[in-house]
Amino acid sequence: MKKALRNNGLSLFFGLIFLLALLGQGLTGHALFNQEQVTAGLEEISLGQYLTSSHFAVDVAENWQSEYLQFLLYILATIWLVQKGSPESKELDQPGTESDKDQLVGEYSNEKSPAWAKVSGWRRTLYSNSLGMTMGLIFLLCWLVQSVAGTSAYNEEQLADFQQPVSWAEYVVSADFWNRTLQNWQSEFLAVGSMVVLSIYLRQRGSPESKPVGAAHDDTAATG
Amino acid sequence: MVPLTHRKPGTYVLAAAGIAALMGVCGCAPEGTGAADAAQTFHQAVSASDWSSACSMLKSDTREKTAQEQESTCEDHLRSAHIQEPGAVTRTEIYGRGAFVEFENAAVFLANAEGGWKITAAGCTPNGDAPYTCEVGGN
Repeated sequence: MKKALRNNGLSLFFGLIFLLALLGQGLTGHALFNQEQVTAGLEEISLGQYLTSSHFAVDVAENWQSEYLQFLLYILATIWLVQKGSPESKELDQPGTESDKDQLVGEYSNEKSPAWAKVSGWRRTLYSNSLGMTMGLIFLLCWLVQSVAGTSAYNEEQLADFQQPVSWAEYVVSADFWNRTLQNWQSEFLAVGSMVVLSIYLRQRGSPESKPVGAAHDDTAATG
Repeated sequence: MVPLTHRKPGTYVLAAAGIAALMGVCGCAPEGTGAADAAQTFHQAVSASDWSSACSMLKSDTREKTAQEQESTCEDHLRSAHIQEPGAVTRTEIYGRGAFVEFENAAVFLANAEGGWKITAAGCTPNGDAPYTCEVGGN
């Protein structure tokens, strides 16, 4: 039990703080929503009603989609783009999808290689891109949920202002949809870009996201 | 990938739950015809000059605001307002606790409050990108 906890500490830690943060978002979002309801002369709603409302769904989905897009782009961009001195980058002479030997597939696979890495054809191609495809699929689903829930939340405000509701097709080209989307994207892109550049010159002893403290600034692809 | 024939029933339950959740958050889940019924009942009361019943279908702050603005009672205001025969319902949309019922000649805005669908604006006509112009309630 103790060993299992230690061996899965990273995923358990992030899983736990995710649930706590989501709970906090739900509770504070409910309080804020009811404050606005009272101000507008409308009745307050229960926590359960708020957690199943379009307002909560759009707030959650818009953040989720941007996080999955961030990692999708990072996974894909780091295949071809390199950054001298960054531990986040591959070696400068290794851009691209690399050789079968480097990737341990087909005849270069070993006993412990996943089954679909050993075979050829569509199964290997699918498995070779499964991480990016899954992150991309989750990103698209979250973005879709954002657009659907966003249409409903936006229309509820439209009706409170005695304006005509808009269709989903109208909403996805609206300023509200793109403002919600881009305000999340810009922060994610800034964070990733900062990590790539700052990790050239700065160190965090013991972290695999950093180079070893004594590594040279121009040492690329080193992890400590 | 699990072949279709070997897929557990739970997969379909999850898929159905996902679709239901999506429909729930989009507000396009069927929520009955309560809002359209309330709007039609309001117009029937107006047609029958049953001003008291019509006023009781307004949301309380709409009713109070209507009376205050006209310096008269809600009933008097409805009597003097130019609320046309609306015609048939052409469209009903419900989002969260708000509803929009469009008739052939005018539209009605409603809020789910005070124990049911209450009218927040009636006799409304489009006004470009600005809020609708309404005979009762509205901006």
